[in-house]
Amino acid sequence: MRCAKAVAFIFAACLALMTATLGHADEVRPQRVVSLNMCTDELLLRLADPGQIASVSWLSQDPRNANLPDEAKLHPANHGLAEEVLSYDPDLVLAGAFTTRTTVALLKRTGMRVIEVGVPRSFAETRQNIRDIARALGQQSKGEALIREMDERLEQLAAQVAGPPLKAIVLRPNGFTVGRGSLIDEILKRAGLDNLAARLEIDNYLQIPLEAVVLQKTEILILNGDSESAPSLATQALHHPIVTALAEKLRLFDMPSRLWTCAGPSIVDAVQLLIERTRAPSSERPPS
Amino acid sequence: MSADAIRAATGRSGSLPLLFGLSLLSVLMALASLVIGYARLDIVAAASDALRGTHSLPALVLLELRVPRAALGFVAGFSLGITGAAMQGLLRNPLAEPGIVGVSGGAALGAVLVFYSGLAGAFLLALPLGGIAGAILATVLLFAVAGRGAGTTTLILAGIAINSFAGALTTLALNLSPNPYAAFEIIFWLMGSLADRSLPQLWLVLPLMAIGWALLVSTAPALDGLTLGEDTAASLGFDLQKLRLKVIGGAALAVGSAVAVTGTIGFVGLVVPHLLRPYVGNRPGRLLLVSGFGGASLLLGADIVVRLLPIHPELKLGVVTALIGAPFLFSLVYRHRSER
Amino acid sequence: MRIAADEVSVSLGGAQVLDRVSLAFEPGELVGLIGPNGAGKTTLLRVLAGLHQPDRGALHVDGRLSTDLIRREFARRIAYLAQNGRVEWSLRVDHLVALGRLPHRRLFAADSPGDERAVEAALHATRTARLRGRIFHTLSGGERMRVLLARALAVEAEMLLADEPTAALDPLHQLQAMDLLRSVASRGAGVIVVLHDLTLATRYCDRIVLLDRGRIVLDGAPTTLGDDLISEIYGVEVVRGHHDGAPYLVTWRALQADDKEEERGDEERG
Repeated sequence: MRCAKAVAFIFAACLALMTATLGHADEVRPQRVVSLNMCTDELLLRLADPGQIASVSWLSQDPRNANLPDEAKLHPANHGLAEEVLSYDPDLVLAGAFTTRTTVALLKRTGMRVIEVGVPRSFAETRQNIRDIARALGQQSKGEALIREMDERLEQLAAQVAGPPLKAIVLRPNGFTVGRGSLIDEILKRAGLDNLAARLEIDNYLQIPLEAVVLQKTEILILNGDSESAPSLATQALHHPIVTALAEKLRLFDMPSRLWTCAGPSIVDAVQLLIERTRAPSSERPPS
Repeated sequence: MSADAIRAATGRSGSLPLLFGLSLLSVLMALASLVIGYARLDIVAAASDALRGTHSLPALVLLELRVPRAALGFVAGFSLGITGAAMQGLLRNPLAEPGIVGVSGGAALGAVLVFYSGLAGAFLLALPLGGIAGAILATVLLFAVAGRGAGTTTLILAGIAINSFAGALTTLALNLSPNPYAAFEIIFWLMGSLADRSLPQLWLVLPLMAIGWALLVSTAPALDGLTLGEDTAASLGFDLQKLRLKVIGGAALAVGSAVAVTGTIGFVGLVVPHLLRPYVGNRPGRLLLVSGFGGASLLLGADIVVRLLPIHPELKLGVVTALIGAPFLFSLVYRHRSER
Repeated sequence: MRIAADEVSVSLGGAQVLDRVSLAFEPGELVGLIGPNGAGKTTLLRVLAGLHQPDRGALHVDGRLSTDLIRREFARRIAYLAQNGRVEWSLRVDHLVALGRLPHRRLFAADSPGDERAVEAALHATRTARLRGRIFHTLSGGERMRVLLARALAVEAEMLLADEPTAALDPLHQLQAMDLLRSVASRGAGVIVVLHDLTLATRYCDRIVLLDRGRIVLDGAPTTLGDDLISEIYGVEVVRGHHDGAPYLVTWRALQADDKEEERGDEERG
């Protein structure tokens, strides 16, 4: 009789322990997360506890390209090579949709948990990306907080946008522009700008000839080339004399790519910057 | 009309009408190039605005985009044509042209090194000078390897060697550039383009090219004399060493600066002199200027084709000239073979 | 005018090709420059044409150093007809002959009446006027020789230097070439022609210069060329005769050819 009671007690204890463990399963967070992609790096840095981060990609440590370079520098950098990744013995790997396919495939074959995050094409997708990563990191509450903060800011900014939308074109290296239904397109809309390129029948390659840029009677020209110190023909196109000549006829300013490349609060910064630059009275136009 | 018959029929001053006609053609092509573009432009309104000094949008497009494109197409084509004719005259070989023998490849290397290192940003003239330096190096190498009076085989082999080497170094330089776009820009340097060129680029290269053209034109009598071989040419009073230097210098200035702003565009210097040679009675001296205007016309024509073709991204100029020139080369090789 | 080589020495590739050669030439005479292979005839001709600077000694033109004259002036006064005339591009005959006027023409100048006259005269002298519209490469060997000679005549130079113009020509054209050179000399120009053919040289030339291993062995009238000298220098026996009152000689037989060849070969190699 005493034997059976002991066994039942132990059994119950085990059961309780198991349930407790299971119940806390989603409280177990990955402790060695490696991120291979600049955008996943950013979310990792924002959402995770520093102790969870094993490595971020080297791109995030470059202040010209990334939003959190100082924070990124606190962690070891990787170059996206499979061997490197394995050396960190990660329990979670975050990759972008364009991270080297062979590397990702290799990692998956080793049984590693790999989460691939796509490039968001809208604010809704941005929120989803944040939620996905937050859940993977076991930081759902931080994720929700971040989203809430972004939404609040967006509401405030929306109030500042008055009057009809201003006509705008984004010019990127090699004459690329931004088309319909992209994240930047939505950012422009929320800043009260009408993306002229979305209306033109720009082909799939999204290249707009300089002639068309000039003749479109646009009011705002956004130069989206990062001020690289090293020259290239692609970025040189943004400094064509005709663009400089246009500066007298319309508002022309530089927009750093890092603000609107990745899913994160920086897209709200982008909206804010656009509103400031385009709605400020001409006399107060900041030098671009 | 067979080539022989054309030659026989060409009179003593038969090349003057040809010269006039080709220069007129090249001017017309330039005007056509102004009218054709990516967006509809009221040329007349734009031109009158521009002349009045009004900086309306159409005037801006005309002055800052279309004029540089047409003008650079003209001067680059002129440079390629006249240099091809001069090199063929000097080397006494119809296959010599700046692309084949490696001069353009060397120029591209020089320009790439100067541009991507940031030197050109600091000192504007550095870009064409880089192209010129590269062209000189390539030519010196060519003469060193192929020697004087080298046969076709040696010449072509030397050209292959120089082009391979220069091409490899150019790609390496592009890969080493910190700018992420650089590595993909090899296609511009290898195939050439006139898109989005600017007026400052035109002013930068024009004086240098003009000096190059002057040097090349001054070699006309000596090239004629060289028809009879080096000894006879010397006995006719020509300094052969000076002639070589003038052709090297002129070629480097003209082609080197052209390549620096347009990239390498091949075959113009091969096709144009070859087509026009029978019409100047095969005389190398007379071929120079007509090849210049012929080259300008050809390049402008190719640039018009490139803009009219509904292909995106826009074809590089070198593709069109290669599509015309490579079959030419085939026929030259075939003829060369049957002459053995 | 008078051109003179003064103690000219030239060595090429380690061998002494010309050894202190001194010679003077004046217009009006047809000079035959003869000698065995390797004697230095072509080199001497090239030095006289200003194409090769001697290592020692100098070339004088009318008492002045040839190097003091500007190239163009030298080119106007001395015309050179190369051996195996190679024409690189298929030129028309009249354009080719007109190349002889290059030393007289300024850059971009049109043809002057003087130029046209000279070309016409050259075409007529060589009886190539009817070929003027033809392409050079369609001509026969004899016609080509005459056209190239016309080119040299078009220079209207005081001296004409011709390097083996009769090589690779058939008998008819060889004789025609020598007749032409003869008439050029009789019209006042000086002609120096390198020849291999002793028969032609002795028949046509006013003066013979015999070179052997870089040295002048004989400089005088063809009659001074004796059998002993010929057998010593050339290693051949000649037969002489008369026809129409003019003497001629013909090479007849090799003399102990092998010994002679070996001897010369040893000397050359040593």
